[in-house]
Amino acid sequence: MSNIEFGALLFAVCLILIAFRMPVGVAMFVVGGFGFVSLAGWSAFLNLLNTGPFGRVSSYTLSVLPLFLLMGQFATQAGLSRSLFEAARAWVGHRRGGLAISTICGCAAFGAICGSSIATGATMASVALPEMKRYGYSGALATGTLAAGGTLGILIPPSVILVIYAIITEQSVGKLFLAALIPGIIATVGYSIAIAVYVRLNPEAGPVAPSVPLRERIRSLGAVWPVAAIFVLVIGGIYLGVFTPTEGAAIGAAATGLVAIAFGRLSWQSFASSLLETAQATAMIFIILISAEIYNGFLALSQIPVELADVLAASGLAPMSILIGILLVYLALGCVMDSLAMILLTVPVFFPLVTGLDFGFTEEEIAIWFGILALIVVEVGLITPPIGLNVYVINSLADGVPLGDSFRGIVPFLLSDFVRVAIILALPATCLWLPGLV
Amino acid sequence: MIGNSAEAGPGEVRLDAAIERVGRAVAMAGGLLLVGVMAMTVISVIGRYAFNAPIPGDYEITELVCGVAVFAFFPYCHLRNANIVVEFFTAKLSPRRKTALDTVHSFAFAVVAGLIAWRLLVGGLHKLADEETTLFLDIPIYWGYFPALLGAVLLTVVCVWVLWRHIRMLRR
Repeated sequence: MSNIEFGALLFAVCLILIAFRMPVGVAMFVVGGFGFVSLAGWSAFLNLLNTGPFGRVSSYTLSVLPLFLLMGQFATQAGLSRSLFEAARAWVGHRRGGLAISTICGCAAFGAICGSSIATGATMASVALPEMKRYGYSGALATGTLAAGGTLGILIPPSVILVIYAIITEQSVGKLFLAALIPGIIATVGYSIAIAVYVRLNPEAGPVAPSVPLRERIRSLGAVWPVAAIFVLVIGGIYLGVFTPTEGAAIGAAATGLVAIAFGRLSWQSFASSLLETAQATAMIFIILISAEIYNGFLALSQIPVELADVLAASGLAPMSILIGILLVYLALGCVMDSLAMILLTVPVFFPLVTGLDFGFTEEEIAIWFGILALIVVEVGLITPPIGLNVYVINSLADGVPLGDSFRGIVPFLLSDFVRVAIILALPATCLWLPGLV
Repeated sequence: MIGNSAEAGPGEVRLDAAIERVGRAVAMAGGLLLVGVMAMTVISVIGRYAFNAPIPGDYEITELVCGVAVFAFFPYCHLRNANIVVEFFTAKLSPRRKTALDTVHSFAFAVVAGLIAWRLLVGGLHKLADEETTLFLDIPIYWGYFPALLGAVLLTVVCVWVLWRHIRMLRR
């Protein structure tokens, strides 16, 4: 059996184990370990385990993850989601579908200090769902909006997935964060347009809410500035090289914690629960990261990425068709798989392949562009049936909305996602312009 | 709480509660370490720019302490049954079949956790024997390995405990 066949077989076994409920981290460890032992022997595998796992978790660059997760937890405890939603609502709530648009804007703003998708959607849901219900919004629109809005949490920097992508592909976290900014704005605008069109077609889905006087509107912005300040400080500082991403995350977490204390929202109890939630989310990610180390050790030994790149290079396919093909694979996998696991399983194979293609850009530019595209497509998987984790989470928070309604409510946002991917594919400058400025 | 403790014996209930409490306490300790790293980093950055005096070796401290903290988080995550699992394809299986699959997987998890703990011990002993230290502060590397080992051992204990509960549920 050739290495490619062996690798493909083990990849399939890994997917099957995952489909049969094996925790993703355990499946990657078992399969990667088996592959490693067959190619390099037991003692090499045991040697890898001597230093591999601790080496992985005690990496300076990866320390950024728990710190960003802590920052998101503090933001949640501080009730920043409510302030952000109220501010957006004061400005656009009186329009048709305005509360849904406010929700999207609130999610985008919350995403600027929170790096995960489900956390953003769920936090915002606790604030926005009751309001939308009160003003007679349809369950489909309300839950669809929140599930889609949650994905902004992962796209708008800081982003857990982007950090991991940056680390496995040895790219600059700061540049990737900056590259995600314009796509994040396109996403926010695109989702708002999707809502505006949807309520024009179904006027009863998003009735108007009362208007707010100008004085109130301006006052509502008072709660927004700490978020804006923290975002500019953290992302700006990382990008300009004033501090490392890990330092930026620590500063962001500390600043968000101080805001929570200033708002009088960080009791001992909520402090403790922020730590425990951070612990849980961190462990969830690092179990998979340790296993990915083993799995990637096997991939590297098998030379599958190199061989696959050769095969595709010899096939004479146009670079753009290969890229679109890869994105379609992500879209298909995303329907049934977790986004983090997908990135870790596939990027080591796809990355050398993509950066070897000729798009007329430097390798770094392709790496950034591909990272953003992959992130968006993977994140679409969070809202597509049948798995659509975000949709399940939001639906479980909304009383009396059938799951089918929630999935129907997601359709306008999915269309908007596809338009966005097309825009970014056609105009790589949307990702490359900002990071190229310095 | 794991499984249905209503049907378990009193000793088992007590053990369950004890493991739960230890897992939570260890995760909290890890969380406090993380907050410590956060505070140290902020002070170091301020020191660097305001007084031209960063905390020496802050990167090394961050690495070692975060490494220990992450291992302290693993048992709690498993206790909360929070590992990423794809449930879609097996959602329609009977509870008994799901438990059967979960039993196999918790066995695999226990083996993986035990393997990691064992090699962490061996790796730590190597670091001790080689007197390997960090570059700047000369902190012995095993100072990270042995506290992390505690987390790995506790994770293994939790894995075995979860496995035992699954086997009990299957026998019923």
